[in-house]
Amino acid sequence: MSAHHISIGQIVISLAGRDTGHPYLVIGITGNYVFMADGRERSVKKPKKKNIRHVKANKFIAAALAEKLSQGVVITDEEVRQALANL
Amino acid sequence: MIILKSDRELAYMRDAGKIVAETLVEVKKAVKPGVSTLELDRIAEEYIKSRGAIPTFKGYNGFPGNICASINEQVVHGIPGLKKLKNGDNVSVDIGAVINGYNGDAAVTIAVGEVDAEMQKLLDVTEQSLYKGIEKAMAGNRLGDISHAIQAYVEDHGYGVVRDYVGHGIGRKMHEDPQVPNYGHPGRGPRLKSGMTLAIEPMINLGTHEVKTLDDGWTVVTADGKPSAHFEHTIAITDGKPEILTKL
Repeated sequence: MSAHHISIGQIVISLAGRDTGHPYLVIGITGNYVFMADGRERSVKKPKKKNIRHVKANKFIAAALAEKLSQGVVITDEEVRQALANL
Repeated sequence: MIILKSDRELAYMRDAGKIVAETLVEVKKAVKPGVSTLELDRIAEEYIKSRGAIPTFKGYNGFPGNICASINEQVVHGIPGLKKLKNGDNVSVDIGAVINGYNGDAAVTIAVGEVDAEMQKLLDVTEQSLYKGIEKAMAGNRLGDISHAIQAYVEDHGYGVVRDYVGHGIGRKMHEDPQVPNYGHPGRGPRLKSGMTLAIEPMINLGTHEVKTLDDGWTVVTADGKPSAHFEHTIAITDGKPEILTKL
């Protein structure tokens, strides 16, 4: 089964909309949409839903968070902020 | 992080790969006009379980089927259903099985009955492109060499290489690092080492490379509705030639 080129835990950059250029962490993917958080304006509890075409994958994947998310562990906004700060 | 496999782990992956390859043969035998993809799903499930393995796809991120069955313009991740195959269709069957905790993953696109020359050429070029990629899977090369070999061969024939979905590392988990795109630049990406196991899977469209996902959240179709083909093998990188684990 093929993998999507954007995976959970990946850091992406918004390409369209008022948040153009803003980095996020992907916390979920369904069909054509990604759910992303930045730990500030977009929290893990209330992520931004965005068309997958409107984000660009950064080559960094927050491996520790990807592992947690894949096991269903809830991550905190603080962890998301730290992952994005390490860019 | 790319996980290198020991000899013992490779032996387990050989077992898993063999079961996947045998299952594909069983499914291939059953493909003919009038058969539904749900029947193919059942054949695969029974065969995998009879060999003591578990179908990996069932329940993977909520996927409902034991196999992916994608007809014509469906690129990948088609959900098996009651729709019957027609003469002239193509059906891509993607199968994964896990045994002793290790995964095998492979796919073929099968012509249903008699297909026209255009479709047959798409299938041939896609299958060939997979082997062009595998040829480059040598220790010391870079991942981009595999990607580029596939892309160059396919684009020479004027077909579209799907960008949104990629191959992957494979082992204890079905999807491991690294991603294996079917497009890229030679000499780029991680260096290949003996003990890496990769699932290489070109997804090739007759027309544009653009794809979209249907409302079921899984089925990926071509944006222009033209047919697509998909071939996949799980391979291990060795010090010599790459070993295809999902080949009988």
